[in-house]
Amino acid sequence: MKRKNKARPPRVGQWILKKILPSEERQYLVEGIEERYVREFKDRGWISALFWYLKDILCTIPLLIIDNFTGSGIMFKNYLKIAFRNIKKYKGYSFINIAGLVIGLTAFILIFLYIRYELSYDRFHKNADRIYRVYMHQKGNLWHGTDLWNVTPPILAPTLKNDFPEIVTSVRLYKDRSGKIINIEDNTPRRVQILYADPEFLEMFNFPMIKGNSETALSDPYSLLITEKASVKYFGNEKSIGRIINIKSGNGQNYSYKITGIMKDIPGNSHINFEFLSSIQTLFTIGNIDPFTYRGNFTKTYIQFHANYDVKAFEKKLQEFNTRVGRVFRIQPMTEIHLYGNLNVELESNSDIKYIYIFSAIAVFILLIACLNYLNLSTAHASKRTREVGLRKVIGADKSSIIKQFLGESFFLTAIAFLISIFLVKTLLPVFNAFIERKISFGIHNDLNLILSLILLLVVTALIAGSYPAFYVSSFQPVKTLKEYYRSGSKRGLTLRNSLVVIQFVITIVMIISTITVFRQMQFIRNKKLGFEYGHIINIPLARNFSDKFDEFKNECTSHSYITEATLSNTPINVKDYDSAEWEGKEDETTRMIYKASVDYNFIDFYNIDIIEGRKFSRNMATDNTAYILNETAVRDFGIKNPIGKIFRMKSRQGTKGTIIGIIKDFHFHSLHLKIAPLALKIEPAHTLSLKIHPKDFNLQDTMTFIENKYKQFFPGHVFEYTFLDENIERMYIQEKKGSQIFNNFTFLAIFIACLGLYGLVLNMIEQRTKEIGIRKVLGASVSGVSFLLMKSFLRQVIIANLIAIPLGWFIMQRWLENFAYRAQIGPLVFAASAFLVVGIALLTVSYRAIRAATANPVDSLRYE
Amino acid sequence: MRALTKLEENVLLTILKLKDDAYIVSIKDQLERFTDKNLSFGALYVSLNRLIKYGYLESGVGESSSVRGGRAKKYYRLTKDGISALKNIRRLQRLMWEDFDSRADEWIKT
Repeated sequence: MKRKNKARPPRVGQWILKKILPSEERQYLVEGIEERYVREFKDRGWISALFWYLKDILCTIPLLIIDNFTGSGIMFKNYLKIAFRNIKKYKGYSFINIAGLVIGLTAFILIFLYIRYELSYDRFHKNADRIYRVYMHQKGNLWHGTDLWNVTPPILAPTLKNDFPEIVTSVRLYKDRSGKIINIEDNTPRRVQILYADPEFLEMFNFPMIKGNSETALSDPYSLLITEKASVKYFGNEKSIGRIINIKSGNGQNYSYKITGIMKDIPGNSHINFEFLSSIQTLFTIGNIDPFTYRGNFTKTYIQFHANYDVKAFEKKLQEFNTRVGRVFRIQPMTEIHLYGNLNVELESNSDIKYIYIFSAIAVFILLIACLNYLNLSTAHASKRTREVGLRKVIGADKSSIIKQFLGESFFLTAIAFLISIFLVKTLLPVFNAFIERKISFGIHNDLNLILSLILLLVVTALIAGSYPAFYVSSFQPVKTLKEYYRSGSKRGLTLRNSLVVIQFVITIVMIISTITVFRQMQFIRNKKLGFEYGHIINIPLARNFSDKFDEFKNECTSHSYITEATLSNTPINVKDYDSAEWEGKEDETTRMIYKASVDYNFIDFYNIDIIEGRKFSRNMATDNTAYILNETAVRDFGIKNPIGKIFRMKSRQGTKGTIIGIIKDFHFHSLHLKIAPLALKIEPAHTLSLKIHPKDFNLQDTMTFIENKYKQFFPGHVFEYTFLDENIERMYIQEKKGSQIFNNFTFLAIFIACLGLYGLVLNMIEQRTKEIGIRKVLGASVSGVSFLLMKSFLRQVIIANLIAIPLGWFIMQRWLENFAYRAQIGPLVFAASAFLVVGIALLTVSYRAIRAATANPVDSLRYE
Repeated sequence: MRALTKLEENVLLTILKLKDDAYIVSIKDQLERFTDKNLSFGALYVSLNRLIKYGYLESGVGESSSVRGGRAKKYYRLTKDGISALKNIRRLQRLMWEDFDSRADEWIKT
């Protein structure tokens, strides 16, 4: 028979009611509700009865709870007094408890702020949820692992607006990084980035202007808008509106821009960032670009829909549009860009939703460990309050009053911890911000949502941590507690406490395993032979239009004694050219893509790359200026048999035919996230000069000054910049590095909290067993025997935790390592190391107290009651 | 004399009406019938407790009844103070509403 057909209200609800009400009162209300339920059931059936019951209970239970708590106004003063006294009396215990909570809460709040910030990216625009960006799917054109490209032809935006009535505005953006500003006063060129946009940009996006007219500011060519910060940076306190700035663009020409407006600083949580904003028409004019064709993909297109738009319908229409124009365009909501956008040629490097998940998990786990700590410690500590509880009950307190008192105490302690952690968060926030490179603000005063969330956090933490101890304590029986020796250790309580310790340590051990694994992977990346030499190498970008002077400049540089070698080639990690390949003997029609590096004759020697077959480029062979050298992967993937001597060619642009003269060993010209792709080397003019500095050059500054002077000599009016190749390579993994550092810190915190809890438990246990220890010693037990006895149970828990955590940790780490095409070996050593680490730390925490107890004088422990 | 909320006032009046039969379920039924609004048990229970605290109500346990499988029900009765409080309210109300009809008609005419 179905349970619901019995005329009884749901047992869960009735049980809750019973728990909330004081015992004498209980039955009347509960029975009254039951009577009403039965009537409803008889009159209108079980569904209606259940419905009625749920509706009523949903109102009744909160009202009863509130009434309960406001009812004890009289006792409140007493509870508060007792709470204070207890904190003072048990300073050590209270300190440990509060410290654990503070650490947990601070960590949680910091991560919470971070996640909130990341999720808020780009949402400050008024129409944020109606703005999408349009990108291209260039099938087969894989670059850095994806064939989705964030570039579109300039004609796309106006066409979409015209053809689709559901689109209100469309905007094109292009970020030009090649411009150099030439100030009026001193003529040192400084590199600037200019964002070019359609005039509707100021309409679609919420970037307010402080001075100037937003309607006309972007319509004139050569008009420039500048942010507040940039204005101060370049002009100090002087007025910048109306000034003329000369900018030398990438093609070497000078253009005069006029500042027509000042914009408010761009908020940190925007994927669109700029110092200078100009009209896109200017760009078209400068670059002599025809914006009315489908050739040339370089602009970023954003569209905004009408209020009641239908995405699915639009996407269908877009597909028809795609077939018509012969391209594949797709749309993505703007708000998803920061965490989900991983296209090629993003405006700025974005973050990833993965980090949000990982850090949410960390936040929850750390807070959980802290709450479990509190739970454990207070339950163990309850043995100190047994007499108080017993006495209260004798005098007339009922169970719910006791619960109220102790729940209130945990609220009180949690509130103290909470206030301290708010203070800590405020103090640590600048450091945190600097490290994760964000600008998170902790504005408690003006953010209602934040205040509410924090209050919720406080309440939930206090409840999780304090409920069980409160219920546990309220179950003490007066008679038993007032007897001489009451050990508050029911079998059930002990198992619960043990399993909590195990849970805490499982979480901690998994975090340790993860930390070690990540560290190993980072080390692996750093040490893995990339296949080329990258130490002591400097890369200097050269101005394109002076290519005839490059060789001379190179020779001048090598004349310096500390510069050992120089080459005019692409740097090994900066290979951008990507084209389809053809070779003698290619049988099928499938497009095979290959990367191409434009190199100098000495490229292979300069970077110490191994040659497997054939030979290197040589100036003595006249035909070498059309020859190709391929890497192993190219030969292998393309299946070219006997490649040396075969004709090879890259299809588009300067795809001259040449013979393959050599095969080089694979080297990593992309980050280790990606598999090595096919690569061809060809003698072509490159715009980067790489210099190898002698390792004994301790006065790098002088050398660089020498080069800088030469640079200025050869390329007047251009900015001298240089980077170190090894730093560039490090930078590819900067996100991982930062992420792993943060993770390490949090793991350390987790270990600390867990051990804090363990320490408190040990203290408590020893205190309870003082007499037992004394008697054992009197009867002849050795110090080591007693110590071991005391540590035994804790050791057992830690070992169980290890057994659970190791397979869990292994599984999680396997998943993470799948992100990398090249992985470090994670052997049993890692797990053994973390197990030993945890056991060792736990032992240390426990042994100090245990040994002290074991060496105590039994006379003292047996003397007093 | 505390000022009573509308709900508390209605509860007292209902209990007076119910005479000997004023226990929680019957009070709730009557109130709902009169006001046409649903009242949760919790709200009623809390109100009754408050009224007892103020001294306007007193409670007692009745005889065991067969309806509830033999257990007793809790009955509520007005106290002298409760009656006085209601009388006060009635007096105030009489004063306020004294010439309502005539004044209302006058207002409509202008």
